Amino acid sequence: MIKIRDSEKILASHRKTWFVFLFTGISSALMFIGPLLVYAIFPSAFGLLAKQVSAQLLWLILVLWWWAIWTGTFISFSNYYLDVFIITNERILHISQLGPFSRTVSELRLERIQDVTIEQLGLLPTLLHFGTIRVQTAGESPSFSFRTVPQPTKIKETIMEAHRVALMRHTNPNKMST
Amino acid sequence: MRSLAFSLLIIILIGFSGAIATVVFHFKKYAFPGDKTPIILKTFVVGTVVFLLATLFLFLSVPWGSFSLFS
Repeated sequence: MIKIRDSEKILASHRKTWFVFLFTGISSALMFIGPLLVYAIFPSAFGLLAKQVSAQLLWLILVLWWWAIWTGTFISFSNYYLDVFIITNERILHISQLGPFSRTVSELRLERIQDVTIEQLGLLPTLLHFGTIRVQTAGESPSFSFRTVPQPTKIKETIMEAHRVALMRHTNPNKMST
Repeated sequence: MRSLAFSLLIIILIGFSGAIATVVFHFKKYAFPGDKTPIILKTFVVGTVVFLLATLFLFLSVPWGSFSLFS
């Protein structure tokens, strides 16, 4: 489990837009119902096949196919779902799941933020309200960006507000603690 | 024929086990407080158990004795 400190509070967490997983989801659904569609179109062929081998064997192969699709879909889904952008009252965490065994975690203190930029380029991002957020920090640390995130304007506002509060806490710790 | 089919089934189940363990590991390890990972994981596990039971039931119901490799 991702560790959040006791003093820390999660203000918002965001994942990539559903559109990113749409193509994979549709492919999985088509592969799932594909054999049923083929049976609906060629029922007599299946009857002949069931006589050659047993109907139970055909069903066994079909169940194993469906199980493979089910498992593969969840592996793809984990790659999508575990990409997450967490804003707490102390830092921003960007977790990027690149593959089943490949992951990067970036952490950024809110006080070090210099600039937050959002990009919504193209027809689909504009219509479906998703885009890229880039957070630039002070010093030599590279910026990090979170692509295809929904409602980037709202997220930017959350980050800027959290940054403002973190700066006030950093510069006036006594005032913030009262 | 039955023993060959059983061996194939074991190999397939070992392959599935690796993939299932990967998914479960990821969702358990990388959850954070307040997200929907527990529900997703339960859905995956329930579906996997259903498929496993269906596979075992169908495997046992296939008349392996009526098949011959050298017919």
